[in-house]
Amino acid sequence: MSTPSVDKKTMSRREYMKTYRKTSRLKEMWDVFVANRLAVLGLIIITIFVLLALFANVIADYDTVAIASNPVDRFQGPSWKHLLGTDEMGRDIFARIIHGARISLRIGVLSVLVGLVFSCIIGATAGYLGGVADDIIMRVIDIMACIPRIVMAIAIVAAFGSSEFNMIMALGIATIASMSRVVRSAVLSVRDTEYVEAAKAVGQNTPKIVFSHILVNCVAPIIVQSTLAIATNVMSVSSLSFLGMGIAAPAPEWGCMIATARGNMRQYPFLVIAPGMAIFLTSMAFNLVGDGLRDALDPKLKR
Amino acid sequence: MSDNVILEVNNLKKYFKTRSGMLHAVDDVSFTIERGKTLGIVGESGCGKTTTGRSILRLVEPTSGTVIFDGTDITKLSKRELRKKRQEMQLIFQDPFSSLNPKRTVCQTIEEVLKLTGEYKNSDERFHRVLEIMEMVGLDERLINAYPHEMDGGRRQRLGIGRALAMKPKFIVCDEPVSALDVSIQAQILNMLRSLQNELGLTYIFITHDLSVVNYISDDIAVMYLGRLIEKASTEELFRNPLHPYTKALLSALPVPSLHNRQKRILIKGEISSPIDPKPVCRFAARCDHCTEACLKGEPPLVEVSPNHFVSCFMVQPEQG
Amino acid sequence: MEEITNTNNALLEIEDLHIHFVSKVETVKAINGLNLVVHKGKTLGLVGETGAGKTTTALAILNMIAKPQGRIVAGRITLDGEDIFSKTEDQMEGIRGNTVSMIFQDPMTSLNPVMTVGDQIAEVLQIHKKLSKAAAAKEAQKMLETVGIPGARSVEYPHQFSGGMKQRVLIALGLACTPKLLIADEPTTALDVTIQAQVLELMKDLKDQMNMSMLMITHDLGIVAEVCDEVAVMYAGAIVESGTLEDIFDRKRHPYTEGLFNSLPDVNNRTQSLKPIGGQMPNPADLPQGCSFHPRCEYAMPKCSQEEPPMHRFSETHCAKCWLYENTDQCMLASQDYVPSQGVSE
Repeated sequence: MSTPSVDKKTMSRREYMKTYRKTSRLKEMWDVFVANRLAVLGLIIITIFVLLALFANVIADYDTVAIASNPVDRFQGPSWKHLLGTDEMGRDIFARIIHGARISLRIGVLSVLVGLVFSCIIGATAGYLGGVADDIIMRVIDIMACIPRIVMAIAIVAAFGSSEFNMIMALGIATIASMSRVVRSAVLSVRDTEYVEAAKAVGQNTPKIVFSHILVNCVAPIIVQSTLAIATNVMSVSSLSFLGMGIAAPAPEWGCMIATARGNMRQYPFLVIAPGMAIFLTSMAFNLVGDGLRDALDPKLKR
Repeated sequence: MSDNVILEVNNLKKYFKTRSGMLHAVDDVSFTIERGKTLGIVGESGCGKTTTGRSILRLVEPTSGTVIFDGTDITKLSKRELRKKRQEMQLIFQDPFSSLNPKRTVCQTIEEVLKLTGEYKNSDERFHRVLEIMEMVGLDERLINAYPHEMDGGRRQRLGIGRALAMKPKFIVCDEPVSALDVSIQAQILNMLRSLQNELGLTYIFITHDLSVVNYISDDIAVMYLGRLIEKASTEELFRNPLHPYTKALLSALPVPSLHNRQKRILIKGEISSPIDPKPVCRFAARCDHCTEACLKGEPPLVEVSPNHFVSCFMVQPEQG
Repeated sequence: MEEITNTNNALLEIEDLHIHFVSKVETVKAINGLNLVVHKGKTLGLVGETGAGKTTTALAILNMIAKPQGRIVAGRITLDGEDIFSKTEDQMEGIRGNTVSMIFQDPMTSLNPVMTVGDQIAEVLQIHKKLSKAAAAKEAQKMLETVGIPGARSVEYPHQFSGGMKQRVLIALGLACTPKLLIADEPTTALDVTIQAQVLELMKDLKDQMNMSMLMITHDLGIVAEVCDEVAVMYAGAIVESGTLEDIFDRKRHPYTEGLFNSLPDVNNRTQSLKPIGGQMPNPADLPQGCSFHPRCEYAMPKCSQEEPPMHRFSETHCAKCWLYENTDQCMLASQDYVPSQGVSE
């Protein structure tokens, strides 16, 4: 922080803010994050997948390349024309993978967002109110946690039909159990700090206290947990589709691709390896980034 | 009660329910403070001094008793009225590390309070008030956008004091405001609290375990032991003529940083007993050398043995005439 | 080194110690040319504020500086005739707890919560004194009784003890092997005054009984006056003034020492306002040029910001590191030396 000499009376708020800049917390965090090589690798992988997904239509047209069957080109190996070869219907596997990335990432991210909204409300209420309310809410969450998430997702999809929207809701609800526990424990650890008491002492109202003093200081564990949850949910999308409960063929969903390729796995292992690697790489990348964020966001680990 | 009394605490009690019984954190404490004065509350950990401070501000709900501040009974106020009244009564915390929101800069911390007063509608005016407050507590203006973790303990404590002063309170409860600081910084803060009191006409309750600090800053001192007020007198009187055996021991246990005028220590045996469901006897009896049968039969009342000197001990009799 | 006058009487000697903590971002200079002597049978009070490097000094004596970041740049520590830094980790384990032991500040976290206190003391005895299990248990009970805890309580767990009692247990643990040097790092800071008085009294008695030396690390000059024979005042990783109790309390010479005393409220004279030292402790990663105290010093001269002052010796026991005494032995501070006839207040 440099200290240029300035005449204080004539300066406006904006000029002050310009003269004495805040140190950027984002930059501090970025420095810690970048120091972690694996986390950077994860971030690169995610960026590549996101870019491929965003420009999937530019790279390969959905209807003609990823969906339409082309019997002449069946079971081709990798070549310049078909980077990862073709499948049993002569469709380009690379095109299907990048269109699949769209589905996986979209459902993975959106389902976590859905779960996050519910978890924040549930976890913050339980943590802030405490007492009987906390007991009741957390027992319900305990019961939810006892049902394996994939079973719960299957149940929801089975009941409401297997659309993409239902998948997002199903996986989102399945995320609530673990996520709301994280939110609650974070809120609990902040709730009794003296700065929250100080806010009460100056007469601040409850919603303001919860949002600008408590939740703000819970952001770090919530972000980390969310990143890890995306990894899990990306895998769950594929698992559900593999079981035929999620996205149905001919959509180029990764789990779905593995399921259809199973019959030809012996002769053409690439049909399974390619989408398998895609699933593995995305979920690993999110896990790595999550770990990196944990270090970057935790003030205790600084220095 | 005279106009000069700003705060009157009557029979304040705060009990906490625990698994093993009722914890008597504050048990039947009464005192008054005059406008512009400082009352020091001294005691060891677990004596209820912090809970007393919080109960007066109703940051914890008192179990019973009344707290009359400036003619209004705080304990009877609704939540909304209380929020208003709190503007006049503030709190300074012990730990400058945990009492500041780590995600808020100096400016944001003070400005939040200013917004609540509703006094400064114009953003630039409000901002200049922030600068004024920073100057008042000795924070350099270049720290305007600093986060708590970028400042040392002394500066953080200055910010904590600035946050309390932003409300323009009449009365501040200082809960061990200097015990987490180094001596040289501690002296800076004590001097500042003293001069702020003179400038702004503040009334303080100064809670501490450090007798030399309380001696420096207080006009009157109340000594607490296991939730009870056992002695209260003016600072000179208490240090010159302590009457309760515990006060005597406490004063003599204070390590004096000088090699001369040393007094012989009175060592008291044992440790503080449990505050859970205490028996209705003198709470200090088990550690007291002068314990008699009377002490084990009932609780000694707080009596005024000489003008403005209150003691709760069977062994001390009021002065005659 | 010229500081050491009576070498054969010294139990612990630290000579020109420099310790840095190196990280990617910065180099923290924790200890900068520290010289210290603890004499046999004496108690030395090491006084200083947070960040002065008191605890680092203690850890260095035990050769327990956290390794990859912590670097001993220069210096030598001789404990009971042995060079500490030349020892292997195995040899150090024999020295720690045996020749030297340490009592930590926080009694709440320094004991193992899942072992009875008796077992914890007995374990130390089994390792260092090679006692049998039964003999060690018996000895442990005896140790507890020495520190004023009934021997029967040796089967209890730490959580069953109060703060003051835990500190007693730690003292018993530290003294179990009758060390020659006991390092006490703020042993009473976490305790209440009346309990502190008990513990200090106990430590004084035990020190005399066992005829050991003690290094008392504290920020409280009151405690120093109570238990110490000699005092060393530490600032920014180096000793700025050292001497006997009388040297420091009655004939102080260094401006920092004066500032420390002026910051303390005087119980006998409450109207006198405090004269705190201005400013803050310097950042050890970015120490000022010259004398590290000069930015806060009232008496600072141009020279102070350029050159580090040498240690000036006033008497055999008393020395201070300040340019004020370049050409004189006279006190250059505003505060006067203590003269017995004037000091009567009551």
